[in-house]
Amino acid sequence: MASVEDYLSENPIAGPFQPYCIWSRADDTLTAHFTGEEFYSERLTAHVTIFRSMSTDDIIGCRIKGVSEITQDTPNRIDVQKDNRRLSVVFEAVRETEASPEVAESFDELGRLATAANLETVEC
Amino acid sequence: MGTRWRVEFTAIDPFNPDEAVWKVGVEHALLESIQRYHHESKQMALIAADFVFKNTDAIYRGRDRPNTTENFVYTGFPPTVRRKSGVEVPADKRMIFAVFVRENGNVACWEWRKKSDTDLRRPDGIEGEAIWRA
Repeated sequence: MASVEDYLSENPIAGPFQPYCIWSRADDTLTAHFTGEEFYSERLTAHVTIFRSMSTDDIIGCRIKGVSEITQDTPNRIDVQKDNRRLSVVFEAVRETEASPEVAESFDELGRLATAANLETVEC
Repeated sequence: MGTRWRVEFTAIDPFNPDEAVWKVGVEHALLESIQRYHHESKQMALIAADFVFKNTDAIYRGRDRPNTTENFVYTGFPPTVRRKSGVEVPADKRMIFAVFVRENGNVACWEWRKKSDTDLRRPDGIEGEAIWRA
């Protein structure tokens, strides 16, 4: 174990940011970041938190909690535990299950970002 | 238990906030992901998390969603944001820093949030009971 200062000095970031999406089985949570900018989080619903750029307020990522719960009743059941599906497909499932217009609008934007980045989920 | 953590912090014990401390930490796998994708801003934000554990303003008890396990949200006001170059810039005054800790001591995430409109010491979207305030 290390202190924060020791960890940072021993493990400097060594390259340019790469967009990513992580699936945590333990937390049943999917986290995606499309840019490496400094960000703040904004909770949209019990399941969905979006990340916004600190400098522009643009959406640059999201966290989805209870992914299995959200996707289990979708017509084409998505099982991110067994199949690293395209992130845009998972976003579409969330969009269908969350009734809020604000969520729908945010996920339209996230879907565009996910399609452009062409990410697959990676288990953490 | 602590060996699973790559980085460890000493926090106020939420179960006995006036008398005890609690060891919490970030798991190897989470930090490895941040390293693998070169997420520098997220890694550097560990400094703000460290500040919050050392200068906690409040602890909130809450759940991610109904029927899920409890967690604790430590909040504080780091005055600066440190970047890779070592340069420190003033933190955004609209923001409060929140660190989410599971009951088992795992630090699940750490991030800035806007302050609540109704309580400037509470992050927006955090509705749980304040179990301790400085």
